[in-house]
Amino acid sequence: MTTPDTQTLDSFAQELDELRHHTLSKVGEKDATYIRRLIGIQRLMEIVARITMVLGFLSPALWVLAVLLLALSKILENMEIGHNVMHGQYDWMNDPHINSRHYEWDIAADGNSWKRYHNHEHHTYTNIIGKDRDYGYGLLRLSDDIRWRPKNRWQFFTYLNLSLLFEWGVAYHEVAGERIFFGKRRKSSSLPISREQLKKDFFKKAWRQIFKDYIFYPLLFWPVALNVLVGNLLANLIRNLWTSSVIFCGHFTEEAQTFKESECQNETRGQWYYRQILGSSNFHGSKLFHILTGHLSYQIEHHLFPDIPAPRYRDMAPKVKDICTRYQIPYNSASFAHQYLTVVKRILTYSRKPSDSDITLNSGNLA
Amino acid sequence: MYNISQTISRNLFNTSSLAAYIEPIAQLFTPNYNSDTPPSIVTRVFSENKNCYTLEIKPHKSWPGFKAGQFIKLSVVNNGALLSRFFSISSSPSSFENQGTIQLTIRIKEDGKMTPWLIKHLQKGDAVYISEAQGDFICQETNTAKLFIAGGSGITPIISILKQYKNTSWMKDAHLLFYVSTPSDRLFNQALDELSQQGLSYEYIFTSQDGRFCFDHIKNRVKGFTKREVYICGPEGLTDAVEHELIKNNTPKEQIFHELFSPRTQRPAFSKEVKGATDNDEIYVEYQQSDKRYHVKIKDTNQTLLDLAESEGLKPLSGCRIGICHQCICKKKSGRVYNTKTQQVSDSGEEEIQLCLSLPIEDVSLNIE
Repeated sequence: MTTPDTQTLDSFAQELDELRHHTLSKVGEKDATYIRRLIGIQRLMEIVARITMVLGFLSPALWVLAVLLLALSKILENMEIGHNVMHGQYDWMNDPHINSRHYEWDIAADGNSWKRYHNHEHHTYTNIIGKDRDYGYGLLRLSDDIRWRPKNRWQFFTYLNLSLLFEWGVAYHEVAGERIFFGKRRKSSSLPISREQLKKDFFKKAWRQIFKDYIFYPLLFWPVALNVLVGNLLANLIRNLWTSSVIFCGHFTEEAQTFKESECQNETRGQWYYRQILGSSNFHGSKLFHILTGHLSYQIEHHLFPDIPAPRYRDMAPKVKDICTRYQIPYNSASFAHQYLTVVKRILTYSRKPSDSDITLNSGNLA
Repeated sequence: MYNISQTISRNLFNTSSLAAYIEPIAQLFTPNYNSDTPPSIVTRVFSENKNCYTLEIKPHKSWPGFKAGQFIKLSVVNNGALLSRFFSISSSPSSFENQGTIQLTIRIKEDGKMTPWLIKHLQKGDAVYISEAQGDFICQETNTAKLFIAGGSGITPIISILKQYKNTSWMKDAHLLFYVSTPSDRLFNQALDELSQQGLSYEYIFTSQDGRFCFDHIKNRVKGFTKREVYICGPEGLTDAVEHELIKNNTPKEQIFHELFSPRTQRPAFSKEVKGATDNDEIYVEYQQSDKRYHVKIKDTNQTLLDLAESEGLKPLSGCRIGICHQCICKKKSGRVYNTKTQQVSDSGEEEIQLCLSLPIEDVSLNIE
């Protein structure tokens, strides 16, 4: 597949920019009301869930309901609310609390760390091997660009672990990248704060989350402390499994391409848009399903327009697809199940030593 | 002081205060609820002349009141976004005591985002948010004779002072020079008439007919101006000129009080053809970092707020520098900036902006981390 020439990509960029401008002009009261209502509902859900969990002694069914409700509230808070608010999607509201600078989310990861490595690093260098550490998280070999090592043989189990403990992976990601605890310190680091501060922030947030879910609430409800402890743990695990699955389907599917650093020097806007599309994948679902994924089911639209309120991606998607079709640029969208299976396939494929493998997934070399 | 509720809200809910945590929940039932400022209610909206209108507002119960001459920050939700502007209160504290309402007299700014919107959309019963009263432009509690000089909407704090002190002894000798463009820009005629019965001498000077301020206006019309306290409020050109002339003519500086209404006077547009933008070499950016303020004059029209800060040795947080990651976002307190990504000029009030994308087109004041 050949890359379209610069001129084509320039007019491609222009059409996408027009779509962006058109959508932004409609953003207003509807989006503000939506996010406020959603936050109100999510917080009510959390309160009800925690109370119901305590009442679990009356009936195990109540406890199960509470765990599911708490997991749901955490999923909504992390994905549709936290991730999107921290992207700056609602900064235009001038709200003193619901903005990217001040919002802190209910997960082990420190919000400021996330904003640095996700908003900046991942979104700027999406799928560029060596620059986007999100591609494999430094743990998984997902393409031919990375040399095979014996540890890759068991990477499916590493993947399962990562999924289950995903919030800790997210929390530790920047700390690992900056080699705070292990490994040789990188010569070039764009960390805007001191290493001490990064360490401090990491532990502070981690401790806060552990204290809240595994010490404070159980002790607060002492007679049912164990119920609450286990319930909170399960809710966090469910959230971890769900969020990791959604996120992995964004960039590790069969069709998602990777890029070399050399190919991406001095990118034009059109080339940047092009790389974002090729490196991302969408999946289908109902309106509620999209909300549960934080609209990351529209990974392509999210990567093209990370700071537009996410629910807008629903209306933008058909238009983006149309633009891509007209410019003959691949637009990857499939069912969640299909995308997820191709992710598993990719993990398994690249876990095998190259001479063993007789299937090579497209690792996306641009001509 | 160890604030328990803040500790709870931070550690259990990841929010800065319990009120902030509850706010969206409360808004499910009471949409106007605001955890920082309770809503105040609009009681009346009426036109004063073709360019000005008055909003009468009943402040929320815990609003502490004001001194004549002070201003407040008025915030409204316009299409989902909170917009804020500062307005002087044009009614008196005693009328607030009697009726429980305050009045803001507002001039419509052509192409403005807020002032035209307010008169079009606000109705009796609507919720707005007002800050505590601020400002040092208040009346000195002395019996000294006073002179008031108002330019355009600068009359608003002055009329509040005059209404409040209508029965004092100095009113018998008080003088007001009121500069407006044309006779159709006159304001508060009824109030001024009532005040003249208490002794106030006032006169209009129509700048479109009689030209701008010149010192003769004071010299020929106001007796003993060097012995008076002088209160000036209006556009920068007027206040600067008046103050300059008074000092030149032996009025002690301590007797002169002025309030400046921003934005600064309109100068010819600069290269981006933005209406009202200041000439390049006169723009100052104020960066506030914790309790330090840095005033920086811009050197180059194409220098973003981020580059400008760094050239002065400041190190605001930044990231991709191309407007994607929002790392450099900070609070702009006032002033308009040009966004190089959207190619739009911003609002002039308080809002969040990305430093790497913003070019100041007039004086700007920012909070950086």
